[in-house]
Parts: sequence; structure tokens; C-alpha cells
Amino acid sequence: MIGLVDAAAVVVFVATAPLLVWAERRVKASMQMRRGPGVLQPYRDLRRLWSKSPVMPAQATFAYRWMAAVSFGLVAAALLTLPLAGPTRGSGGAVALLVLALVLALHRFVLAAQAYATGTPFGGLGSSRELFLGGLGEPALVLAVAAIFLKTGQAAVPATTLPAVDPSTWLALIAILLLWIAESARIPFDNPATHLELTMVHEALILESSGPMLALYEWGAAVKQSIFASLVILLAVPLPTATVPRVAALLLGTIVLSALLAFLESGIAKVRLFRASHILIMAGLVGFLGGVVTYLEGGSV
Amino acid sequence: MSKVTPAVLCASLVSILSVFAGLALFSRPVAFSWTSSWPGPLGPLHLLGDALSAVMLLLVGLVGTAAAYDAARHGQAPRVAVLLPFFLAGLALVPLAGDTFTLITAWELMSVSPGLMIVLDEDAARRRAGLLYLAYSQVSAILLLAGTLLAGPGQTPWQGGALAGGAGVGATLVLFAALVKAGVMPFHAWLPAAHPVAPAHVSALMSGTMVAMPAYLVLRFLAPVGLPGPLAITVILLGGLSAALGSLHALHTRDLKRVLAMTTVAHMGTLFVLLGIGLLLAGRGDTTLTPAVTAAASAYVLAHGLAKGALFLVGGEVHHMTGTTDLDRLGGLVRKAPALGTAAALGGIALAALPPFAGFPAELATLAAVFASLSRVGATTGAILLGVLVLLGVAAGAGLAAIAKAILGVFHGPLRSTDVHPVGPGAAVASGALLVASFAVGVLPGALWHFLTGASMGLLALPTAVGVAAPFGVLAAASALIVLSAAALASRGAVRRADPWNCGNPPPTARQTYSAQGLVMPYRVLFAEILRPGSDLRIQDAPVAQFAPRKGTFVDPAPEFLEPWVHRPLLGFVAPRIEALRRLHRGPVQAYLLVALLVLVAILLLMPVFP
Repeated sequence: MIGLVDAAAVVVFVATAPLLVWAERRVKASMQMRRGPGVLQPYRDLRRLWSKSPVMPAQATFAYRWMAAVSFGLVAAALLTLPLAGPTRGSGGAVALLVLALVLALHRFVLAAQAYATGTPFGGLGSSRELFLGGLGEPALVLAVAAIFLKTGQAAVPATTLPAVDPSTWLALIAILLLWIAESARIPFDNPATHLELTMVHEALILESSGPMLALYEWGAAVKQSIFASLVILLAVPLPTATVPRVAALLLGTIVLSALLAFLESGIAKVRLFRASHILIMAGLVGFLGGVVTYLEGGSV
Repeated sequence: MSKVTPAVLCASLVSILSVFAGLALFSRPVAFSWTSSWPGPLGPLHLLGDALSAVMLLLVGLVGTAAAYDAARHGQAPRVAVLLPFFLAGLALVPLAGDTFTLITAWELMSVSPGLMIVLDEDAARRRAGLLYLAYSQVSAILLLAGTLLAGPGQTPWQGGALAGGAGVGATLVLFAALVKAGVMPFHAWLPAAHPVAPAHVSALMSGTMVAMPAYLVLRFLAPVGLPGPLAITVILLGGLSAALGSLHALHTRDLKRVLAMTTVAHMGTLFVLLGIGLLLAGRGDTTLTPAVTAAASAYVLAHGLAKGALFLVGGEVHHMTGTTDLDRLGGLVRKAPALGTAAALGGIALAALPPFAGFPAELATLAAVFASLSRVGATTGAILLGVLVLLGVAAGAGLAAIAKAILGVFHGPLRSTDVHPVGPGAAVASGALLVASFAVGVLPGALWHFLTGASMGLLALPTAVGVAAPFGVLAAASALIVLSAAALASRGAVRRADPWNCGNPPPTARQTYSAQGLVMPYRVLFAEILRPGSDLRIQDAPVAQFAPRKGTFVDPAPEFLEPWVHRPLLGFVAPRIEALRRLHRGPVQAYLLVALLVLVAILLLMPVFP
């Protein structure tokens, strides 16, 4: 069951998720010889949006009204599937990563539904692309979890990190990293800095949202980034077991990883939609290889 | 409710009895067994009942009650009305049958009644679909009859045991009977043809409960001893293929009820992957995973049946409102029927195996069992299983997209139908009730599994082998967080409606927005090699050459992937031979008698071989 420590960890990670957005923007700005925003800028953005009065499109169906709250609640609760506050903490038991996958799939359905419910072409476009890219990411996640299962005997983040010398560890991590980039709608899948209809995925989903609802969507997207970044760190980097140092180290790790990703991202261009799908198919194959290689390593439990 | 006829009363009686029988079986400490005091054709009749039967009875009863309500709501043609109670009785008897005669009788009752309902239709296309269904289901019944006679369980009555010759011809025949009846590819041609053409409540029963019975056969007769490796791997591969291709075809299909039928093919695929893994391991003598597989499979059929039943009933209401189930002509119906739209959205979530419905624990248990098998096999089999997991991943992703396109396309976006027949608040009652049941199982899977373990036979055990704990924590936290953020959102004051921003364009018309098929266009482009989408544009009125058309039709045929390679050649091979047999049947009586004589001689000659 969920203890107070888990609940507190979720609150901390939800509260600090906008820092990942800050790290990304800051690194990208300095790569482009700009000064970049201050550390509080994402919070100021959220406060500004929150202070506006809520507006919704005239022909949106009722599915639209509360979906911002539903999607935010789902991603925030999904944090619980990770052992954030201690190696044996978190909820979901031995199938925690599968729970994570299914909760994120519901989140995807909710996002697609609210976008389609606005009744605008851009909403349909975002809905369509989200279902497409998200669906193609599913094999990658399942196979990466299968590789983790073969190495540790459970479909959850193990108490210790995966052995770094094994190729299968790296293959599983690469699959999850690619998936993270896709799920957080970053280059080369989507460019978060533009609203060009040819390219946008995440922005098209929330194009008609404004004010408090947009604030919840943006915050939720940041939390989703935090989930995937934490997953990578938990699997790859040995962390302290005591609660406070562990959470601090994990937070620092996610911010550094986010900055690193932004650095790499600055050097590549966005690809068109049907190339992006190929990257996801490749992620699935990498995950598959990760599983097969586990057998060859003889390390299966 | 002016259409409560004696037939509807009989149907609801059978259904309610099934629910009570199911619940009663759950609470029994030992298996139920009954033997008739009078002699049947092959000795006295036997009935048996255990936890596995209970799950099936519960499913049949719940969907049956909803179907009977739907029948009373809309009325039904006399042919359907008369046959419905027989159909339900067959469905309820299959999981209770305790000997070969009872099983085959119940199986035929279950198979033939819906076939007759479709075949007696006035519409020629529907009649053809019904004949196709009857042909396949009779093949399945013959295989089952031959299989159970060849390798029937040793004891009479059956002790829920395995077929006597586990790996022999009999077991293989029963396996193929199950594959054909479940519509696993490549034996699926009948399923998307026949399931949608029946009246909605019959579709719900066919797609929700009848497809559960093949899984019951496998669990009852094959699971305890398993199958030899190559055969079990074949089942796993066919299952994986069905899952992925079924979901992709569901994306491509344009008719609401046909989309639902294609997702049934996909779900049966996933189910048979799970069953195949159980058979593979049991065949190798490793039965440690059998309880987990059995529990996961029964949870899966229950979850699938409740969700599929609910959505087929929704599909019926949609047809009732608009007179069509063509996705491209539907849209925005939630404005006319909010309750039905809500039921549809929740049904979609339930069918996609997402929380908080019954599919969620079932999917967790299924994937956990597949994972657990990975560490019990060698590298070669492991690689095959990992490949099948890729297919299951594709099936999950594409399946969600297919369900989303159907539900969102029909109920959300702008209203596309001009003439909508109003439906009362009763439209969502039947589907809503099924979803409430699904929700109860979804949030309390522990209770279901407790029932399963508490029941007799020990065939089903808590899947501790794979460590599935009900992920209550995450669901509870999600609900709390959703309520909190909704309250925060509400505190920002009433929402104001304004024209959509739409990137500065004027408010869009219905024609400018994405239709259901438009939603899944990227998938159809990416998988064009497999789906081979056609596009047939016919311009009917173009005064200035073809450049300024005034009117035209666009048809987008969705050919089945395997149909030209499996179903067609099979039909081409069988049809002339059937015709030859028919000539014999209609021919001179001497020839007829000669055949009877030859068969009799053959039986007499074979008697020493099979005592």
C-alpha cells in the first residue's frame, strides 16, 4: 500500500517537474547563443495560465470539460509505480511497469478524446498522431519490460540497478530512451517550440486549451517527462537507499538527463511523421534484441 | 416495455438462472456433479460444475440478461425471438456438460441457433454471411465430436480432467475445433462477416460469450496435460498473428459493428497466445504456470465478454438512432444521447483493457503469465515468445487506436447525421449495467480471484506464481488526484464557451474535421503493404470533364489480409466436392444404399481396432 512517504515523493516530483522543462529550455537557449529563462519561468507560466478564466470551444462535447483534470491525475498517479523514495517503495508490486504502461495508455486515450472532442481539424490531427505514435511505442515498452523481467524476475524497477556490463541492459535502456523522446514530444518526433501544423503532435492536442486547463496539460506533460527520466535513472544509476538523499539524487539526475537530451536535440532536425514511426519501430526491435540477448548472456532467472 | 414476449421472459429466466448458478458454484467447496437417473442415448447424462464453469456461467448470465433487456426494448423478429432462449440455454449448458453427448448437444444448440437467426433473414447478403458462419461452426462441431470420441476423458462423468490421449489425434482435433470456433486466424473469415449482421443483442452474445466457449474447451480438456511443443508453438504464433492483424484490420474497417468483430479476432488471438503458452509448458511437464494461465484466461474472457457485449449493444442503439453503422456517416451523436455516449466511451476504455475496468487486471495477469513463461523456456522458444510479444504490443497499440476511432468518431466531433431518431434514457441501461459489472471486477479483482481460489477443484489458484497484486494503490491515488485537480479547476469559475481558435481560421464545418477513418489514416499509410487499402472514386456528375465534379462516391474497400490465401482456396477446394456429395444425396436410391452398406462394412472392419 501507499505510505505517507510515497505520497510525499509524488508531491515532490510533481512540484519539481517544471524544472525539467526549465533545464531543457535553458540548454537549448545557450546552444542558440541566447540567455534563456530563469529557473522560476515555468512556474510563472503556470501561474499566469492558472489565473485566467476558463474558456472552451463552443462545439466541444462534454468530454472536453474535465479531461485536463483526469489526464493530470493519471500521470501524477503513474509516478507511484516507480520506487522513488526507496528501493522497495512504490505501488504495483511485481507488475508495476505494466501498470505504468496501461495507465499511460489510458492517459493517451484521454488526451486523444479531449482533442477530438473540440470538434476542430487541429484537434483531430493531434488526436490521430498521438494515437499513431503512442500506439507504435507500445511494443518498445512491452519488450523493454520483458528484458527487465528476464534479468530480474519481475516486471518492475529492480531494487538494484541492472548490471552495466550486459549488452541487454543497454538495449533495454535505449528502447526506453527513444520512447521517452517520443512520449515527451521532443525532436526528432515533434518540435515543442513550434505550432506548425505539418509537424505538431503534442501542441495540436492542446491547441484549443487555454487558461487553467492548459496549465494542467503543460504541467502533466512535464510530469510525464519526469516519469521517463526517473525510470532511466533508476534502471541505470545506483542511488542511495535512504529516502531524502535518494529523492535528491534522483531529482538531480533527471534534471541533468533532461539537459543532456536538450543538448543532443539541438544538433538534430525534426523528421517527418512517417520517419518518426520508423524510429519507434526501431525502438521496438531494440527492445526485442535486448530480450533475446538476455538468453545469450545466460543471465535469465 | 411493451415488447415483453414469452420468448424474452424465457431468455431472461435462463440468463438469471445462469447468474445464480454461477454464483452458487463459486461458493461451493467441492465440484458440483449430477447424473441423470434415466438413460441417455450414450448412457446416463452428466453435468459438472466448478470454478471454471462458474466464470463462464456468470459471463453468459450477465450478457444474456442485458441482451434480453435489449430484446424487450426494441422487439425482435419472430425467428430471433423463438431461437434466443435456445441459444442462451446452449451457452449455459456447454460449461456444465459432463459427458460427450451433453457437450455436443449443447455445443450444437449454441452454434446453430444464432446461425439460423441469420440464415432466415430476408436480406441475401446476410443469409450468405449466416451460411458461412454455419459452415465454419459445423466444421468446428465435427472436429469436436471426432476429438472427444477419439480421446474422450477416461472417466465418466468427466472429472474436469484432461483428454485421455493428451498428445494424440483427439486432442489435436479438439484444439482445432476451438481455433475455428474462436475465429483465430486463418480460420476467422466467418467472424467479421457473421457477428455484425445479427441483431445487436445476438451480436453481443455471439461476440461476447460464444467465443469464450472455445477457450473453455482448451482450459477444460487440454490445459492439464498440454500439447507437444510444435503444436503449442503453432497455437502461440497463430494467436500472435490474429492479435496483430485483427487490430490492424479493425483500424481499416469502416463499419462500427465490423470494427468490434475484428477486435474480437484480435482479442481471441491474445487469449490463444496465453492458452498456447500454458499448453506448451504443460506439455513439457511444467504445470507450475497452469493455475496462473487458467486464472488469467478466465479473467480475460470475462473482461472481454462484458466490454464487447456492452459495445455491441451500443452499436445497436447507434443503428437505431441513425439507421447506419457506417463510421464515415456518423459523428457527434453524444449531443443527442449523452448517456449512450458516456457508456460508449467507458466501454471503449474497458475493451482496451485499461483501468479501472475488468480488462485491466486481466491484461496484467495475461502479460505477467507470458513474462513468467519467458524464464521457463530456452533461448529459441524464448525468442519466438519475444517475437509474439512484439505482435501483442502492436495489437495493444493499434487496438486502442481502432477502439478510439470508433468511439470518438461516432460520438464526438461535429454532428454528421441530419436525421437522428431520438432514443430514450433506456438506451444506455443494458450496456451501462455490463460496464458496472466490469468496473466491479476491475477494482476488486482480488475478490474475483478469491472466489476462483475458494471454489472447488483447485484448477484455478491465485496467480501468485506471477505475483499479480491488485494495483489498488495507483487506482486510488489516481481517483484522489483527479478529484483534487477537478475541484481546483472548478474553483476557477464557470467555463465560458467561445469560438474555437482553430489557428485563426473560421469555425470549422463537419466536413473539415477528422472523421473516424481520418483519425487512423497514419496507421493505414504505414501498414499499407498489409492492409492494401483500395480507393475507388466514382465521379457521377462532372459537367466540365472530370475537373469540376459536382457529385461522386468514394469507396474504400477493406480486403481481408488472409482471405484470398486461405479462405478462398479452401472454399475452391471444398465446394466442388460438396457438390459431388450432393449429387449422391439427390441421386438414385441404389447409390445411396451402397454408401450406407460400405460405411457399415467399414465400421464392422474397424471394430477390432477401436474396441
